[in-house]
Amino acid sequence: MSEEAKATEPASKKPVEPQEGFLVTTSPHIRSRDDISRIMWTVVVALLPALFTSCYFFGMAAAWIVMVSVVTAVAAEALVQKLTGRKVTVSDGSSVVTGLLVAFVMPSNAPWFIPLVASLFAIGIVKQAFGGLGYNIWNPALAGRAFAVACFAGLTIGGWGVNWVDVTPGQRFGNGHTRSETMTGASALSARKDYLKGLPKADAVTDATSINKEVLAELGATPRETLRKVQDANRTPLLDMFLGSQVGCVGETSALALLVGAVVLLATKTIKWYIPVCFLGTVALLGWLLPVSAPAFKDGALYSGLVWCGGEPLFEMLAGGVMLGAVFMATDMVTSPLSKTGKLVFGFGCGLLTVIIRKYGGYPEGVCYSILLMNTATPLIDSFTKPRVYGTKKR
Amino acid sequence: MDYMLKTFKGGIHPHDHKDLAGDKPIERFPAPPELVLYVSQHIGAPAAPAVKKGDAVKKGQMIAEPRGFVSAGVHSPVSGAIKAVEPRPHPLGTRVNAVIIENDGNDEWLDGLNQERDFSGMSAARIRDEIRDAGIVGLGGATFPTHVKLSPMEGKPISDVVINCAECEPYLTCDYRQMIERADDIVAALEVLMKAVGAPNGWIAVESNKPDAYARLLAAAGGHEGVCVEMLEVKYPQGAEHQITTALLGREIPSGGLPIDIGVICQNTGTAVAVYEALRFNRPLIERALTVTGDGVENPANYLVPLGLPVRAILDRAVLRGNANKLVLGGPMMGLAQYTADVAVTKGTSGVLALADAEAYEWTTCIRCGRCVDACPWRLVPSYLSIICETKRIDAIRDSDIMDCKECGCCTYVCPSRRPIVHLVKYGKAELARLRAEEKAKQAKT
Repeated sequence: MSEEAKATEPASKKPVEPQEGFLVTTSPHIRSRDDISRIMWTVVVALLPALFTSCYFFGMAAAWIVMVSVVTAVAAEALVQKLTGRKVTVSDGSSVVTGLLVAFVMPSNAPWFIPLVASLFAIGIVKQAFGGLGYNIWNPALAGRAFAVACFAGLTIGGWGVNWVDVTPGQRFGNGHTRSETMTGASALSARKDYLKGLPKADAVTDATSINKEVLAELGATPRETLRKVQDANRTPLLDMFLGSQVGCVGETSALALLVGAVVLLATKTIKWYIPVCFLGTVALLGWLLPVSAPAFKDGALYSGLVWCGGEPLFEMLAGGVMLGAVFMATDMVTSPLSKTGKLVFGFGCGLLTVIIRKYGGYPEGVCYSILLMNTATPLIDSFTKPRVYGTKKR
Repeated sequence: MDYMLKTFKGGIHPHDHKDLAGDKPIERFPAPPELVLYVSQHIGAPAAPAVKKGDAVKKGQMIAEPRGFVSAGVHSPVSGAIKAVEPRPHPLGTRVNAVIIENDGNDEWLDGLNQERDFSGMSAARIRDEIRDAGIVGLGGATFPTHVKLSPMEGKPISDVVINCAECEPYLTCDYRQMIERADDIVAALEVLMKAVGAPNGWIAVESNKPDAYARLLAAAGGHEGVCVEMLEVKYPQGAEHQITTALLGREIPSGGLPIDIGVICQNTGTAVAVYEALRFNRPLIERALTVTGDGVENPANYLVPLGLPVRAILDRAVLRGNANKLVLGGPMMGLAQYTADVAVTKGTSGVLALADAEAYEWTTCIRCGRCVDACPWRLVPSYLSIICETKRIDAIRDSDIMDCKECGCCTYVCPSRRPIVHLVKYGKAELARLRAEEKAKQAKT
């Protein structure tokens, strides 16, 4: 009841003449409060914890990347909409979300023009050229990153060697690295992968005596032992990885901050648990289960074998971009399937591809491409996972 | 609550706003000087006027006769004179032939009506005839003639009769009040309906937001064999025939079918009361309970109104607020928006809902959030249906499950893009019907 209505005394109340010209629409006549801008701004809020932690760990460099990226995304959206004569909808917050996500998948020492190019491509080509919000086939932020990686071949963690923003080298984080080391070092995933690659291979060498003794000392007596040694030699404490003190992209390092965001999204019913849980669960399970080939040195003989069930599930979930991808990228509504079954299939596919790329692919990390590939498969998944209509037999 | 309440899959949880009128006992609304009784207040063939201008009528007298089996008669709620038989604005938005009665205020019943009687000895056929002659239709809003539902169909024995006390539409409370005030009559009606169709099982299903109604009904049903009072989860559309049947019995009704296809008959609370009135007191259906509510009126209330009462009279009594800009007959989820208050109460009018500052939403493209898919109790993909209807892809519409949509509105309620999905689906269905008619005409020619 409005204040005015309360103030009016019943005795003095005159019946209001029923107005003609009532609003006439089809039912229903009530709507839920959630609309697009409410959803998008909720996502922005959910991204804030990760934004704060990245500014803490990477300093001004992260803040600059985020600013360039967000401003470019919003400006690009407004410009394209203006040029194509469509309604400018930047206030719905969707371009802010894209801008933030582009920044979050940039290396923390990327020069300013890289997030700019990535954001421009994400909004201008991937989103608006396909028709705007709702019509894009791929997650704009990840497609923007993929484009930037293709344009600037050195776009890997530490690939630019130097920081374009001065960082305070004195500050040390939990892993003992200084801030500049954190920003230019190799990520946990690529360190392990490169280390394993650098070990001697049994099939390439016939005579074990020709190999340096020191190198042989790095091998275990069994492939499993070798793998354990590789893992131990390249280890960031799990707690550091969880809090965010690890080498990585701007917004992906702190699992804690991302999980806080996930709680916000789940509590506000912005996303359902299906994709993130299925994605992370698949990465943990298959990351542990699927075999890798490792060499071993025993009784003067060099040989190699497959190690099953040798992965570290927690490490797999905390390293790289899986957490960011599972919570914020794969759950992008436009590019993920509609039904619950579809979302579960989608999450599983993302996890499977991520693990395959991580273990057997050329890149140390596979979250970006696995999500983009699954985006491509979304219409297919949708058509296979259409719910069974009430009162009909199973399709 | 520690146990799982029975329910169905999908659905939504809108704020119910039942506090507005929930605690107001049903009041009898005074008969107005002039009543407008449409010849079409039900699904099926419109009734044929049985009176002409100048005729005198008594209360309860049939003024329009049913035409055919799927039809229902219309009776005069007052004694008086026929002022005219002419088209008047109908809640559906069209103009429909109506019998206009001038009330003489004497309230004289037709001889033989309004007399208390014992109906325990009535045969099944007699019960059906009494219900048919009383012009009873489904009072929940669908207005399907009740005697048709009760008529035996070859090869379809009926095992269960359900009194639908869910009242899942937000705002509406008239059924709730009837459960509180007339629990015994509802149970009596259920027993007689079970007898009419030879069903061994009777159900009374109440949503869990009406615990006091549940308690009353449970007490009333005590000692009645085969009658089970069940509490259901609060969820829209719990009171839809298909959903309540599936919630209670765990079985689905085949696509395109009715509950009777699996041996079930559902009757609304108001219908049960009407059946009791007809059998016990020999009163035809001339009045019904309705709720006037919404943030657009000062005095929300539950009324027992004569059919044909102009909606304007109800609004005058409930006092329309200055910022009320939407008038809906029925509930907010499936009710019909009116362009004028110059319509009259029909057998299907369960509520008069005045909404203040209602918005005409601007809508955008689908963002594929999938909320409509989760909400759809029919497990359709409403987003897809809305897109093919919007883009007029008639071939895709023809191949889709669009005819399984019952327009409950869950999808539209949850849509963050504010897409008018129900509206688009209605359009698609109309286009499909037009196309099919054209094809039929073409086939007939060749």
